[in-house]
Amino acid sequence: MTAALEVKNLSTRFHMVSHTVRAVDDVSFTLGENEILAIAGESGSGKSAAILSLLRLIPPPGEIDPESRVFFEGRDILGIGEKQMNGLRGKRISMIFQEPSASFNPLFTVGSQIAEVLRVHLGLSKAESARRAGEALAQVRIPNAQKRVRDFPFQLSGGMLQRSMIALALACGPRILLADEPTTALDPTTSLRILELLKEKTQGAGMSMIFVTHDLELLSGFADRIMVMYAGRIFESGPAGLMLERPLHPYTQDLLAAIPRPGVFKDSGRLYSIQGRVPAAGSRPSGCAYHPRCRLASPRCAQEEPDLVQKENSFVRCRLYV
Amino acid sequence: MSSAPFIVVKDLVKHFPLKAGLFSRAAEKVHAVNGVSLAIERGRTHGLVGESGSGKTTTARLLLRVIEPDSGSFSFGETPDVFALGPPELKKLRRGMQYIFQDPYASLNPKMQIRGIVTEPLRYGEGSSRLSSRELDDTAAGLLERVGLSGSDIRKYPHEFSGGQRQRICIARALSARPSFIVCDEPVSSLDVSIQSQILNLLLDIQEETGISYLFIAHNLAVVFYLSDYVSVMYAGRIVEAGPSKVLSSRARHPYTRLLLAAMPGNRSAEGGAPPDSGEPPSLIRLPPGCAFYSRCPQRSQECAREVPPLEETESGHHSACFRER
Repeated sequence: MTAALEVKNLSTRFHMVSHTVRAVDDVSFTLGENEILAIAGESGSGKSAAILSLLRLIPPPGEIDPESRVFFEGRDILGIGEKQMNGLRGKRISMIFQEPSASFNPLFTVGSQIAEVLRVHLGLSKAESARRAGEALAQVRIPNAQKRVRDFPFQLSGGMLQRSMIALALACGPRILLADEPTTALDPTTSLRILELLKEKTQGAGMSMIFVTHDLELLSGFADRIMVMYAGRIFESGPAGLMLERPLHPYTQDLLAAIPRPGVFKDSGRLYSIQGRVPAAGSRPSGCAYHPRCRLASPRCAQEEPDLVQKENSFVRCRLYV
Repeated sequence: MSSAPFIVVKDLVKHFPLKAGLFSRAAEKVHAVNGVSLAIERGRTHGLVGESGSGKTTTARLLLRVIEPDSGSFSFGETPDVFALGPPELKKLRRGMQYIFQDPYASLNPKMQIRGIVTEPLRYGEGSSRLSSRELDDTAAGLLERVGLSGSDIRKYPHEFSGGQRQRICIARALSARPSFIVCDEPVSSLDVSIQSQILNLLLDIQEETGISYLFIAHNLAVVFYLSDYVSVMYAGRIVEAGPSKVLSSRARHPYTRLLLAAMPGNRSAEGGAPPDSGEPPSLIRLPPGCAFYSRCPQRSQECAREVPPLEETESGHHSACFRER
């Protein structure tokens, strides 16, 4: 497998007045060509901070550790100048966000916002970029795309707007698409169609994708690999089908067990529930960060954190596998 | 299941008039709710599912008279029609009906202590102002413990709690007036899965202890089926299918319900691929003359474009509004 992106020892910290929050803590992974890698975890697990770090979109007091490396097309993009980085953002590496309505400027038409990206990155003329914006919308299967380019964001439904954002992200033919919970705000039917569209675009266009979500169940049949994060650390990573069927880490097992399944009703008993909650920023428990909530925790878990070890095709960070 | 339903809603209608523009006709309306009927028994949960814009939340707000219906009736326990009540009677009744919202961040006043928030329903309405400060403290602490928080938290402010804890505070507030009916509008949609199951279990525990009835609204079908005894599926302001949770999840008749079922993540991989569906719900301003689902329906016929299919009983307790699937 050739790598589209190689992340080595990525750490992102937020320096607060009284303490430092380790939002992303020594995360390493490789994103393959045409691969869909999902980063899953609860809010506060560091999954969004991780992908924002890849684009260097971490505002102060946040800071990416100088030891971190992100290799893309042969160079460490954490080390290049801001101007070069701007040339990559939205062109070679683009991103889609959770709230499409919050990501478009409400005062400009959807078409003009896509055209702007094409003018800036590809140097197209006004007329050419406007025509290509229409094509971009048609690509994501928006009906009447050539008319829809003149619509303002408020005139489109949530699903249409999310499609438009995908069109915007794909307009310059990026190598890597970063998606931060792009379907969370959408209805299940719409969400399913967006996932299909994303998968089709990844397979067809020589593009790789990192898909961030809190919903493991969503990933079945969609992601190639899953990486589960907790308190800034990778807890488990491996092939998606395998992980959803036989999760290794107790945390992954608990997350999957807490989801209500089709065919399960209240008279069959209460849902499995994980006690407690994600540790608050800056108060990470000692040892394995999950130990206060873990049903399999031993006294040792509170003292030392196990390494990420290989188990068949997967990696897992838990004393059970050391 | 033969006892008289505790809540009976009949033919609920709400159309929102659009503000007339310079060139548009003033008569245009958004047909948000177009004849919704449902019944809930004491101690039971009625689930309401559908895509955004299907009228779920409008229905809920109408029942609580946050907005006034155009027509319809709503009998609640001994009250024959809640919609006919004047303000004083309604105020009395309000304590019996409470609401839990989707966004626990937006529904708690950031400047109020938890003590004030959870006892607020007690401080209004009949015989309320009689409680001393001490009694309010005790009540608030009791309510917090009831929903799994610490009684010593009563002097804290909402920002000191996480999303799941705030939703617990909202539940405590809803419980304070000892209601017999709670509308839960997407109460777990903004929560992580681990917190979601805690809140769902809490709602079930409360129902078992108090015999409360819920109207439970969510777009996550698995959650609704799990929690509800009976489920109604809404599309474009109408109920298109309704039936016991177990029947509906395994023997859905309406093509729209089937579409929703097929889009459930747990069902997706099992059946290999999603149904072909590229449509969007119709405009609520100009509803089509026939079945609202016509434009997306894989089984449509000419009949469906002409007439709105009525909601008819197909087997005991199971209703479907479709000409093709009877």
